[in-house]
Amino acid sequence: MVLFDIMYLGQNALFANQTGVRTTSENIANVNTPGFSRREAVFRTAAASSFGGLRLGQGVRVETTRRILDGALNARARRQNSIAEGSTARANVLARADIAFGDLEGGGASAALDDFFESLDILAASPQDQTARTNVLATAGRLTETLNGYGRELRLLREELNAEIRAEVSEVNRLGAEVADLNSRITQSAQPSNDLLDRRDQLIAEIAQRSGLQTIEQDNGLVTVVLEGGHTLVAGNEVQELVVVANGPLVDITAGDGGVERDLTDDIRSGSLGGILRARDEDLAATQTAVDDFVTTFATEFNARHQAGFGLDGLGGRDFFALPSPGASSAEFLRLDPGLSNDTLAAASDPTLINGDNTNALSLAALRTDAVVSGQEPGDALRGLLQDFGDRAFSSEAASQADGFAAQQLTELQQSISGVSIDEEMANLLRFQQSFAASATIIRTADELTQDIIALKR
Amino acid sequence: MTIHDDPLTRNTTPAPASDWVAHLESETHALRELLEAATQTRAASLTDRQDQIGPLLEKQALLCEKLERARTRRRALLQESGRGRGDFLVAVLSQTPPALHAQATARFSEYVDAAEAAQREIDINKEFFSIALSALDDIIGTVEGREPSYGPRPPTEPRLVSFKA
Amino acid sequence: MRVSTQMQFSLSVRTVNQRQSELLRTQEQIATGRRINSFAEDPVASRKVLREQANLRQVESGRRTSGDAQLLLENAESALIGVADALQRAYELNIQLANDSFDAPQRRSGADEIRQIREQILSLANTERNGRYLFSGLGNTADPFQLDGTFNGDAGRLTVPVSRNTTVDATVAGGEPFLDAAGGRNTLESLAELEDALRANDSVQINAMIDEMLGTLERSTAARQQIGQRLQRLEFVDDVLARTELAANATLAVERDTDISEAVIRLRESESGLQAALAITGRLDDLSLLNFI
Repeated sequence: MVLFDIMYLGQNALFANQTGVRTTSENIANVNTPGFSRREAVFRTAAASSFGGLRLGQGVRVETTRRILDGALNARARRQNSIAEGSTARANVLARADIAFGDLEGGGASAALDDFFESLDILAASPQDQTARTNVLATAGRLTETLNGYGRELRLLREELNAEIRAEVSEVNRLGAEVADLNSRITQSAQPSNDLLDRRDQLIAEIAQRSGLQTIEQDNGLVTVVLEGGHTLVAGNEVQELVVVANGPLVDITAGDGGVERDLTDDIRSGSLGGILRARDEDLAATQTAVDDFVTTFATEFNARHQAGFGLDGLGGRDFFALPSPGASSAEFLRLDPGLSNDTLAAASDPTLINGDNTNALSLAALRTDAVVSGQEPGDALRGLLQDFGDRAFSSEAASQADGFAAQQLTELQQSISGVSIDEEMANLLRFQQSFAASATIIRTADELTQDIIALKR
Repeated sequence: MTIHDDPLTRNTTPAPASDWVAHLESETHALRELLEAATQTRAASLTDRQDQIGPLLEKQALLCEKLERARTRRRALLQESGRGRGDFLVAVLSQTPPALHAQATARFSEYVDAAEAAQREIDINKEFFSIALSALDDIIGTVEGREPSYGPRPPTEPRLVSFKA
Repeated sequence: MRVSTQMQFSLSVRTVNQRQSELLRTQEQIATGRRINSFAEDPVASRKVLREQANLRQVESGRRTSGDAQLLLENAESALIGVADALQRAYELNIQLANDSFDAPQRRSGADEIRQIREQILSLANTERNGRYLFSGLGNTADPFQLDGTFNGDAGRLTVPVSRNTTVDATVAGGEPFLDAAGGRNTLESLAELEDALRANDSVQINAMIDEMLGTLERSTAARQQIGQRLQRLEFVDDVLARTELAANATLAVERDTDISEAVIRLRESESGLQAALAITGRLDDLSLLNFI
């Protein structure tokens, strides 16, 4: 049975509505309500009141119930919560990318590169062997596909975030509108309603989970909500909505602030929205650039060496890899040169010795240990960029845990002040019960005595 | 504690007859104090200022004790004079010099009025505290019997497959 | 500090969750035998793992190419043994038939035997393995030698990568066991000259050929020694590859693989930790004041 049902049954309602028990009961009923601050009854003296012939409290009545909270602590907890939500969102996005290309078991592009170089070694050992040539083309194809996969996954991961950004932005707008609505209801009511204030605090905390923010409370009870980067989301009873606009295949966040359109994409850096944007525009973008740069440098160097050699047809000067036109992702759109075949594969350096000369194949195979990609061997450069990504994923996870812990501690501190303790409330009720029972005993005695006196009257 | 102290009612030894007027005055005073305390107790019970209730209950208990002693004296007088309860004023007057009869009669009337006033307040409290107690019993019963729906529900058993046989 | 009801529960639930994820991770490590499974778990170790995996792949590819080289060299060696035997016979015939006690018919039949030796050596000089002439140099299009001694090959050597930054010659320079470094007649030409001299019963020329024939024998023997040295070098390369493999596997064991006995101890700890956490959570109900009313 719900607690309040009992309270409102019949004449009990009278009692329940008029005493501190109501506050206690309300606290108990809301023990699990997020954002509920425990209440304390505030009494004041007033004229005696009576209900149904029952004279109640001589000169004392409940004036209001006060919310027990620490505003500065709440702001700190909210800020830390924004940071923690941001770290978690970032870590979640990077964990998805980790599945896409952080996998160690298959070895990914590092293993594909090893395969490719192994096939070049075998070609160098048997340049006359057609199967060695076929093998080079096959491993090159697999390497190309693996790198394409990296490029595609990174692009898709970033693009898939569009939907999440839209969802978070529309949630921020909805919450902002509700805060604006509560602002006007709070200023309209003569006495501040604790439920409305709690609700507003809770909504602002929910916005803060999505974007870092600051609040400015005015004397008239209005709260202004300013998002990270300075956009005023809620001013009085007005909400200035965030807008999602397309920017190529990705989306940006803008907002009109007093008629001035501004881009907030780079401003929001905490809250889940901030975390997603950070992962997208810092971590994944940097990884994407690193992979593209690697592919461009590697393919260009390989092509230069390949051009120096001659195929079985005695012709040279041909590319091995086909890089996309500038602007497109070289990782995603790297291909083998369309004309590449066993015959055009340039293993020979001497056009007159095309069938047996492995000199150019040696030069191609030697790329494995030549420090040609940013001063590193290609394999090391590739593993290095994977490690850089791994560092980001690893540190984001660590930050998510540390920030989450800090937020949890502040929340606990907040709970320690504002949270309801069933035991504490129960102790209140028991105290009431005991004193009421004592009163009842005294009353029985007094009743007997006064009746005895009244009986003296004839 | 501000119990009105009265040497006449401090013990149960029957007082000299001339004392009955003073006795009635003293008891009337006690009844008025009881009325006051009863009202205050109810008021305090409506707030959570529980610290006031204790002293108020103590005060009421002391007043009851005092009235109890007065009743013993009253009964002694009635027994001595061989009269019934309804003839208490007659018994008092018989013990009182005629010059003080008018005063005694007035005091008796005030005395009974005070008792009736206190009785009214006590009746209110009887009803008030019985409602309060039954409501509290209901609330406590509900809170006690509640499922622990508060807080995230802790897992009742490990969700993982245990390595133990 | 005041402890609210929500705090009690969130704290205990958090403890239980933490214990459970520890347990899950340890179980996974034991099941897969891998301490780390992705870059995010340990970026530095992950990079080392891939680096060592690349080293292992290089060992594998080195074993394969050095095997190819060994096959070519061993074939060349056995061909050159045949060449040396045949040239030994030709040299003996030359010395024997240089004696004027042999008449023209005897020298003619000697010339016939030299002819057979020429054909034998031609076939050995044109030996092919895995689609590759052993003595043609880098070019590999047609038979490097013709019976008259015409050489179609080149002076190249097939160099094969066998381990990190190391290559081994899998052939001798084209024609080297047969060609005269000073630019004189090559082995087949010398044999043709000897055959002609015998057939023409030209004692002077037959005598003059003795030193030249000794020279052809020495050339083939020298080439054989060279090949023997390369085969020894390949054995050394095999040792290097084996050591690289050992080191790589040792690093992988440390960086990537689960230390099973340590993990099992950790598993027991996590399990009892989880049970303790669950027990505490269960008992939280008992701690409530409600139970003392």
